[in-house]
Amino acid sequence: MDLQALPNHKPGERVVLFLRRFWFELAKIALITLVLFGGPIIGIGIFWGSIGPILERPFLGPILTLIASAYLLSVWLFAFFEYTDYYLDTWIVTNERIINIEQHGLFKRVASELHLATIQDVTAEVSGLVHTFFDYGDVYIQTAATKTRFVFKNIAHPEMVKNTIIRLSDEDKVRHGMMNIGEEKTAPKETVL
Amino acid sequence: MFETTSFSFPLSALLIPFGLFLLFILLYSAFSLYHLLRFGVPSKQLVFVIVLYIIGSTLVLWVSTSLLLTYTWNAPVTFTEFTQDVPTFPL
Repeated sequence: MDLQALPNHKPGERVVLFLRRFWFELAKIALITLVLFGGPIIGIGIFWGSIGPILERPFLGPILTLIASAYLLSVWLFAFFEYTDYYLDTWIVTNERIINIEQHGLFKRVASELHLATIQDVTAEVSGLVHTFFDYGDVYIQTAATKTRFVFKNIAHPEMVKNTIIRLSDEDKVRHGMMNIGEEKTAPKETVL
Repeated sequence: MFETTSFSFPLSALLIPFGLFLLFILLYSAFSLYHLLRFGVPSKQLVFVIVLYIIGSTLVLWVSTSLLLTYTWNAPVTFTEFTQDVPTFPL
């Protein structure tokens, strides 16, 4: 996907924020893979004295080798799947709209967008010791609909993201004549992640 | 009545389900790779992970193949040999 050529690109539209889940999610995948992949390998290495003779048996040796190979390949593929899911979940905030792209498994991809002028409420939530220490959490974006439209899950600096979206929304409303100049809320300077 | 001692199968028969499993791995790896390249935003991180995945998979397959080549696959396996081959542990 080319960030410079978003679908339904409007004149003057530019990407302000490009968001993914916090790197902790990636670290979790890496850690689990390390344990599931490396653990048995280390175990085989430590207990090679006992396992070696079993692998030399004419029937048990081949079947255990096949099972071990299948297990390691499965773990590796699982890790790749999880990374694909992490990498393809993105939230793109431009000066006109928010694009929410979520990958559910391999064969389901949901992409939706909402225009900044329709936003009525933005909430940032940071909950828990780890989330607070590393400053990551969720951002909920509400339009006039009764159901919460978008949820940015486990993103870095949710408070800054919230303030940026509110500011962009107000500027968009002024541009479209939905708000008078001077009524927009003040917000911190724009920071591109 | 069915005699278990006369039942035998070639050891290479075990390679058939393994081959099907490898095909499954290859297909799903290709699907995942396609999605990343088609829908993902290009970055050094993406290239690194893809290369790491290919190297890791190749390594596992190479080590497995090296070990599997040491076995005699055309030897038939009887039920008696199977039960004798399973290690027993003293109680």
